[in-house]
Amino acid sequence: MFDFLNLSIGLPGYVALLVLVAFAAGTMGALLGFGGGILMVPALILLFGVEPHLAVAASLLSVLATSVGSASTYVATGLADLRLGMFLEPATVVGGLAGAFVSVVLLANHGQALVLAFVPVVLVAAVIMYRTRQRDTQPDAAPDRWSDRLRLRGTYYDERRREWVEYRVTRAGAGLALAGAGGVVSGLLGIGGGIFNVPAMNSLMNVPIRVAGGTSNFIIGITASAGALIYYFGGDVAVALTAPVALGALAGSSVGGQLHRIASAVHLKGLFVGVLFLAAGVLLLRGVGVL
Amino acid sequence: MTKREERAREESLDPLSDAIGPEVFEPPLVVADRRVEGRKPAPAWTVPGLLPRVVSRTLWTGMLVAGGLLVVGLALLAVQGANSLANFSFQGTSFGLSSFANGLLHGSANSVLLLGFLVLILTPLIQVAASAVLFLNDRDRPFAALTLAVLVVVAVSFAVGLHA
Repeated sequence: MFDFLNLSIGLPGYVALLVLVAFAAGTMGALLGFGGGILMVPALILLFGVEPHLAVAASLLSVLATSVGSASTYVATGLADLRLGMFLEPATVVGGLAGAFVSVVLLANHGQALVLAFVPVVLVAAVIMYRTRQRDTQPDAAPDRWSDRLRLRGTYYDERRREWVEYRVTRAGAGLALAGAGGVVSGLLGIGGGIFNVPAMNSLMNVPIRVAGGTSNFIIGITASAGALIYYFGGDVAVALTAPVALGALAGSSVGGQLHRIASAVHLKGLFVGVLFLAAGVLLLRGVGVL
Repeated sequence: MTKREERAREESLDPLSDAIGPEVFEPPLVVADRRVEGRKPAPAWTVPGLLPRVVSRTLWTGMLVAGGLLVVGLALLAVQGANSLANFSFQGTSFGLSSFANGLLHGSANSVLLLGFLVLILTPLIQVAASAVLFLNDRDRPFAALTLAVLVVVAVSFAVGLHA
């Protein structure tokens, strides 16, 4: 594999490249709400020659930086729906625990092939998102019983369209299941929750893509911090490696948040389709044991 | 559609209803020009309510503190060594409380960076705890239960994960 360590770029060059890659991952992660881990982990392993467990820990910290860096703005502007986020969060966290348990205990870390089962899910999500890119949500969809009882609805100001937009959640149960599946994948893999959260909210639950991305950003902060706690106290954080990665992601997240203000729903969905195809590739590589 | 359902529907569509919070929600007629408002913009597009404000402030503070610590830590790292790829550590750093505290007192780069990471990790959890308190205060039982459940699951996963 291509490996910057073998190039004579020296420490400054290596660190600068780390910051640059993390900046790009943070920008995309904050803009689309998937956190950037699905880009960061392969980059660290394949390009920077980092051991997988250290790469996952560093990537978790970069996802955290991305989420914390952008979520405060998203929450204040209603682009991160707190109630919707707290509705999906338990499913994601419990799914993550289940995935980690299956991976470590039942399959003794030989469960990578299980990841392959989720590749078609990602591809289907990509196709659905591509086909619905011109119409963001269905305005006349009726809320289901759960969404109604839990008041899962909201309003936000769309700075591009210059108008207030209202939305109401539908199919809360199905969305919850897909968010849980996202948790399982992230537990099996150490990455990937946001990849499922955004399609779950947008395609299933009828949440506008801007709010889906903002809310996913908020959710993955909590999910990543649950995972990062274990890596941190387990001694898997390589300090000198993780610091530039986290700082780069933090800087990128503020740029991503600004881009989010001017991007249209069509842009966001189109970009997310690209990320989903990339994610399918990463899952495939992981499933066959390359990553 | 029954009368009651119709009323509920109308209420949920009406931005002046309590769809977002207990306060009356008034969409501004004109979005304020941020340049005019000077250094501290009072964005007309922020959502009202105590919960978003508290959560947003918590995340914002965590970001500033963690970011500051990481910048300082990296500067210290550059000064205190790690000047070639060979001694750029690719090992995980085990966390020991005494060496961590001692390092902080002596301004060691490792300890400052570890503190920055810890702030980053704890920020979302502090925010969840704060939300739980606010939901309890609002007697919003389903969401108080959901937020508390998240905290419990995170604690359990931490205990089990560290043990494994």
